[in-house]
Amino acid sequence: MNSLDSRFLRLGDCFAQKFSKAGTYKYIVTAGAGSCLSAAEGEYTIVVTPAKGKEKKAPESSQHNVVVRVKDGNLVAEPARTEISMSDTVLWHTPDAATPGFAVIGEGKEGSFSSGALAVEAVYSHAFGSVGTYQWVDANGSNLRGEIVVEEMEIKERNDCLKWIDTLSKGTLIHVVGGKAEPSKVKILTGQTVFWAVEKAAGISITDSRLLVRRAVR
Amino acid sequence: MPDITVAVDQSAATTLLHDAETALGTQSTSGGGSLGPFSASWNASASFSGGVIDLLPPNIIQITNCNFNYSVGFSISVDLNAILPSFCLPQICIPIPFDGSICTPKICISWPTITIPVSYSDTIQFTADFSLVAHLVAGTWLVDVVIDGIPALDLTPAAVAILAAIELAVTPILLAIPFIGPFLALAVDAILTAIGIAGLLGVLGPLLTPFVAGLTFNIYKQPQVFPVLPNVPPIDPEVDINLDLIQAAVVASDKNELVLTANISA
Amino acid sequence: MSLTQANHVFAGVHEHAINTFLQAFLTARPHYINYGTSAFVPATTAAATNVASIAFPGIPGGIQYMVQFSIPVVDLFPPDGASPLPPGPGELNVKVNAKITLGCMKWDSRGSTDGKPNVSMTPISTTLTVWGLGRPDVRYFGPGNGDVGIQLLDVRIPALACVKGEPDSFEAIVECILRMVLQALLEQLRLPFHALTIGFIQLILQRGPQIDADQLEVWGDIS
Repeated sequence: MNSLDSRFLRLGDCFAQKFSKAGTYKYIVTAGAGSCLSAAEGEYTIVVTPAKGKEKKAPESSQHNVVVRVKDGNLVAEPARTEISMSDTVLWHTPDAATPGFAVIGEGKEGSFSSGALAVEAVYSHAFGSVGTYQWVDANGSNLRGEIVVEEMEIKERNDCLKWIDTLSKGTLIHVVGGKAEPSKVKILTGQTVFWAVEKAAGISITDSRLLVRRAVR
Repeated sequence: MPDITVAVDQSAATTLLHDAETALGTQSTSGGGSLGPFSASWNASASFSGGVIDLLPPNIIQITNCNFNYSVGFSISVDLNAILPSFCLPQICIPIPFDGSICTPKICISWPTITIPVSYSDTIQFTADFSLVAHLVAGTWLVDVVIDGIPALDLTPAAVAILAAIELAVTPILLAIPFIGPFLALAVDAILTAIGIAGLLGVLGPLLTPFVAGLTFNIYKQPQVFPVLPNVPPIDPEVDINLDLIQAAVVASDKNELVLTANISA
Repeated sequence: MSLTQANHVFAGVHEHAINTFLQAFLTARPHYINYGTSAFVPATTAAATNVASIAFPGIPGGIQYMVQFSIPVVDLFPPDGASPLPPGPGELNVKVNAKITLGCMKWDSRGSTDGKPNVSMTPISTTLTVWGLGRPDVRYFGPGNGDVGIQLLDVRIPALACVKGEPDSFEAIVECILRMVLQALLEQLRLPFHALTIGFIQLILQRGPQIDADQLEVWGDIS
């Protein structure tokens, strides 16, 4: 619960993908272990319609939210079909603590996207619920890494509590371009959210280094 | 005059009683129900040891400061939604470098139900009179030392200690719950207050008192058909006598003695 | 005065209980009080013990006999009645009836076709009341492990004392024979500690056995 891992999204995590190319994208929502599956025949659809007119300035982009939850024992995404305009963003999240860790994997003629392999114009956010120092790495093997220090705000009186609640609406951004993350170290309070905005990368995950099982190198 | 008379003084009686306490071994019980507003299951085990033995005519054995050694275990189920406020992470909107901004939805936290395991062991001393009872049960003569009444057990110190143990046990459990940080102290206080000393005493009393109510130590157990000599193959059978009557009493003289008498027949 | 006195444990067995033990023992194992040669007891069984005949040259098969005892009765000091061997303090009487049966034989070789004599045997018996004087003896092997028996000091057969004209040596021989047989019998009869205490305690013997007021008494501690 509340583990830092973009491969297994849970309550407190969001995955967002900006769609800059028109087309139809199929995607699946799967338990994390199925992240190697193909989304070509996925049951969920995003239809990206091109911008109206030529050479016109792109309209202001919009965000479309998709809710993932468990229904009748299966992971489902609602709505199943989302129609958006080019440059809009689709954000997946779950409001339910009982939803198991899931991944969003999609593909279309114009490209693919995955919460477990953040590549182009993708965002992963995580709300940190527990104090500690988190070394995050890319589970897919690149050298990308960083550090998040989560501290507790001392609550002695009601005003302190109100101040803390106020801080929760402020997020912290880490910008990832190529093999670099800026800033590489951040300090936040429990309850606050960090956003990894992956402008361009080789399909990375954001994973707590302690979650990676060491495998023997042959 | 009885056929056989066996007498032990206070020193030997002490050995016999302490051996009987050991022979009783460890008794156990378990159960479940409410502990304050929470549900819980519990178990307890107990044994007895020590004590100063006094022989009081005509048939009383007084044990002073008998050790009641007990262990209790609780598994307390707490639905944190019942004691913590509803809490939601607000929507966060943040500009992203590749144009536009992104907003997370409001995320409401559902507190889990936690299980708090607590164990506690202690020894309480009590003093009580026991009566000598010689009786024949299903072909076996028994001389039992049976407690008179139910001694009062002071369980308040145990309740205080268990409450402290709950606090120690619950804190790391709560710490592992995401987003609880600022509410941690509130949660601990709420749990302890809800259970309270009275709540614990309400469980400890009915849980532990049955161990001492009717407490019986057995100091003599022999079949009515008493084997004197075992069989010796090939031709010698076992030699038995009948214990027709067994009586036990405390007899006063220059020193009080526990006296067992028997009448026998071939 | 306490029963345990300077010790921690006391056990006392009344003579009635001792006789109950003897009754139980010898009813279950009568072969300890019945002995006979092959003419009377062909083989040892639970009922009787086979013993060898007395070999004598010329007597076919040797002298055949049988000795049968009643269940002995023990009387601890002080004596319950008159006795030819009254026990003193710490002593006891054992009274038993001894039935001696002799296989009285006649044999005759006249008319024998195979050289073997014709033998006829007529059992003849006499019963003598035997009084024994003894004291208790104890064997102690460790806590709770030991037994008490009877050490025979002397015997009297009152019936022989009444026979006039017979030499005293005859009485002495018969008394000696019966003393030896009775002593052999009594050595088999031992009461274990756990019977003395009816299994209440594991006795560590420190004093006794002594006899007083018709009771066999021991003192000690418990393990």
